[in-house]
Amino acid sequence: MFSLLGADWMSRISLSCFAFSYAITMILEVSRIFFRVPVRWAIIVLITIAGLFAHGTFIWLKMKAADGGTPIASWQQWCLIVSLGLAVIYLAIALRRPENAFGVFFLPVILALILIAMAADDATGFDKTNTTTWSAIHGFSLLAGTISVALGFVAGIMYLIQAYRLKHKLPPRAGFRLPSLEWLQNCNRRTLWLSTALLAIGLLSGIIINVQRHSGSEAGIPWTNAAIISSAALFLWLIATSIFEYVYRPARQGQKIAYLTIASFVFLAFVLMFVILGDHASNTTATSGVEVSQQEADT
Amino acid sequence: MKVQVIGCNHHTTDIEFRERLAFQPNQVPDALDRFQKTHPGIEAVLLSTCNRVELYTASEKSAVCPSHEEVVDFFAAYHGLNPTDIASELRQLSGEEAIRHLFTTAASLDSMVVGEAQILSQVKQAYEMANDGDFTGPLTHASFQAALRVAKRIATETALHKRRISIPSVAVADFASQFFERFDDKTILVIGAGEMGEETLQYLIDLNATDIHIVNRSIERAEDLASRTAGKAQPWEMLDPLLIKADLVVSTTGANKPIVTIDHYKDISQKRFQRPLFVLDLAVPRDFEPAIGDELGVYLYSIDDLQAVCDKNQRARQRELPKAQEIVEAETAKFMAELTHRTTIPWVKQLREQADSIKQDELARLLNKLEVLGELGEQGKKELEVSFDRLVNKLLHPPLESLRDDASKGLEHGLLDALKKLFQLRE
Repeated sequence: MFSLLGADWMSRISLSCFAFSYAITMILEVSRIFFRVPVRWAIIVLITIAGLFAHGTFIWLKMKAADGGTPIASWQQWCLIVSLGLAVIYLAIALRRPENAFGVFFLPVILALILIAMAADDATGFDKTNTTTWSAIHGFSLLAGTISVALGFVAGIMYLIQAYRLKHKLPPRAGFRLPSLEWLQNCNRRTLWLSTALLAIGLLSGIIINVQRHSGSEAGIPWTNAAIISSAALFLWLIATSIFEYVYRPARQGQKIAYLTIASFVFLAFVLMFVILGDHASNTTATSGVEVSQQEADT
Repeated sequence: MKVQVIGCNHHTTDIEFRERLAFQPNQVPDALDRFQKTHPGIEAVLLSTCNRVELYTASEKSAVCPSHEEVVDFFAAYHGLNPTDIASELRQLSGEEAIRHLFTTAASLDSMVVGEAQILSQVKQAYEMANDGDFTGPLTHASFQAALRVAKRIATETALHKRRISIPSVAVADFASQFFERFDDKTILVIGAGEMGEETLQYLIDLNATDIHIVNRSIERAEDLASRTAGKAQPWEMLDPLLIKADLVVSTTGANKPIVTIDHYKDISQKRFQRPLFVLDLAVPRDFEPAIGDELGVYLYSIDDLQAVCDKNQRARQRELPKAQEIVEAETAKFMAELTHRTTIPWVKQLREQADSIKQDELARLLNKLEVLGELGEQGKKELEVSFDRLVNKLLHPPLESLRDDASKGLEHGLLDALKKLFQLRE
C-alpha cells in the first residue's frame, strides 16, 4: 500500500513544502484585504488542502520511521501535530464561514509552530519506552490543550480587533470581515474551559506516571523540574481564570475574556519554552521530568 | 419596428407632478386595457413607481406606434387631467435611447438612490402584469427580458449593490450583525415610536428578532408600533429595567435633551455587570449622552456615525457606476444589433422568396423544353434543380452577408433601403 502511494516522492516531502503552502495561503488571505479576485477562494482551499496532505504525510512518515514507541517522538513532532491540528481547524472554520478572514490570524500561528519545529530538529527525542495508557493520556491531553489555548489566542486577538472596530464605528472591510463579537466571545469561553480541563488531565496523568515510576525510588518525584513547575503554574493560572470567569460576572463577556485567553497563550508559550529548552520527557537525560527516562526509573 | 418610452421621472419632474400621473398596482391592468382598446396591436408595459411613470410601447410596424401626443392624451384621460398641462413634462425616447433607458432603470443606475434593489422587482412586476394581461409581444418580451438579464449581470459583476446606503440597513447589516451572531435570543428595546425606529426594527425582524419591547411616553403610539411589528408595548417607567435587560437598543424619540445621561447610565451599568450593550441612537437631538459611548462594553452609534458610513458607501457605489454603465452600453449595442438584424429578416425572406419564384419559373420552363427534346432523365432533372439552387444562393450570398454586417452596425450604410429599391421589395 505504501509503495502504491508512491513512497519515493512522499519521502521527499519536507517541512518547507507545507510551510511554503501555508505561506502562500497566508499571502492570498492577506490579499483579500486589498483587492477582489474571483477564483482566489478556491485557490486558498486547494493550497491549504495540499499543505495539509503534505503536513499529515510528513508526520506519518516520521512516526513510521520512529519504528514503534510513542507516536509523538520529539518536540519537533509535538509542534508539527499542534500546527496540523490548528490547520485542520482553520480549514474547517474557513469552509464554514468563507466570508471571514480567519487565515490572517490562524496562519501566522501555524507558521510560527512550523518554524519552532524546524528549530527543534536537533532536539532530543522523547523516551520511547513510555508507552503506557497514562503516558498516552498525558501526551494527547497536553497536545489538545495546547491546540485549545492557541485557538483561544486567535479568537482573543480577533475579538479585540473586532471590538476596536465596532467601538470606533468602522464598517467591515470587504476582504477583512471578522466573525461577530458574540461568536468570538463564545469561542473564547469554550477554549478557556476546554484548555483548563485538558491541561488538568495532562498534569494529573503526569503525576500518576511519576508516582508509578518513582514508587520505592529514593530520588522520588522531581517536583522541582522547570517543566513541571511551569506546567503546574499554567494549570493554576487556567484554574484561576476559569474561577474568575465563573464567579465574576463581568469577566464572562467582553474584552476581559479575550485578554484572559491571550494571557493564557503567552503563559503557554513560556511553558513550552521551558519544556523544549529543558529536558522534559527526554530519553537521554536522567534527572527530572514528568516522563523521566527509563534509565532514571531503573536507578 | 419601433420601441419607445414616454413618461416622466424624478430627474425631470417633482413629486407632486409624479403623484398626479401615478398608477396604483391595481390600476395598471385596467390602464393597459384602455390603452390597447385605442391602440390595438401595440405592445405596452406600464412602469409606475414613486420615482417614475413610464409607458413602454413597441410595434413591428413603426408607423402605427403611438405618438407622443397620443400617449399624453392617454395619461391625461386616465387621470382626468388637461393634456396641455402635462405634455411638456413627458419626454419621449425611441429605439436605442429607449432600450438604454430601460436597461439603466432596471439596473438601478437611474434611481434616486443608485444601486437600490427595489427597482428591479418593480420592473419585473410591471413586465409580469403586462404579460398577464396579454399586453406584451415579441419586442417587449425581448427588451424586458434583456433588461432583467442586464440588471443581474451588473449585480454580479460590480459591487454596486453590495454596500448599503440607508441608515437602518447600515445600522443592522454593517454593525448590529457584526456584534451579534443571532437575534432570536436577544432582547431588543425600542425607545420612541419614530419612523426610523420602525424601519430598523423591520431589518431586525428579518433577522428573526422576537423579544422586542417598545417604550414610548405615549403608550398608544407604542401599542400602535407594537401591533405592526409583533413587539410588546411597555410603559415609560419600564425604561430602566429594560435598559438593564436589553442587548440592543434603538432610540428614536423626539425629546429635546438626552433621555439617558451618563450618571443615569452608570447606575444601569452596574446592574448589567458590564454586559456589552449595542445602542443605535437614531434621534436628533441625541437620546443618549455621547459620554456613554466611552463606557466599557457600550457600543453607541449616533445617526451621524451611521450617516458617515452611508455617505462612504454611496461614494463607493458611485465609483462602480462607470463599470455598470459600460455593461449597459455593451448590452444596449448588442440588443440593438439583434433588433436591427430582426428588422431585416422579413425583407431577406421576401428577397429569397422572390428569387425562388424566379428560379422555379425558369427551371420549369427549361425542364419542359428538355423533356420535349427527350434529352433529360430523372437524374438530370435533379442535377439541374441543384444547379439552379446553387446559382441563386451564390448570387444572394454576398448582398445578404453585407446586409448582415450593416445590420450589426445599425444599418448605418442604408443597405436595407438599397436592397428594397434594387430588388423592388415592398411591405
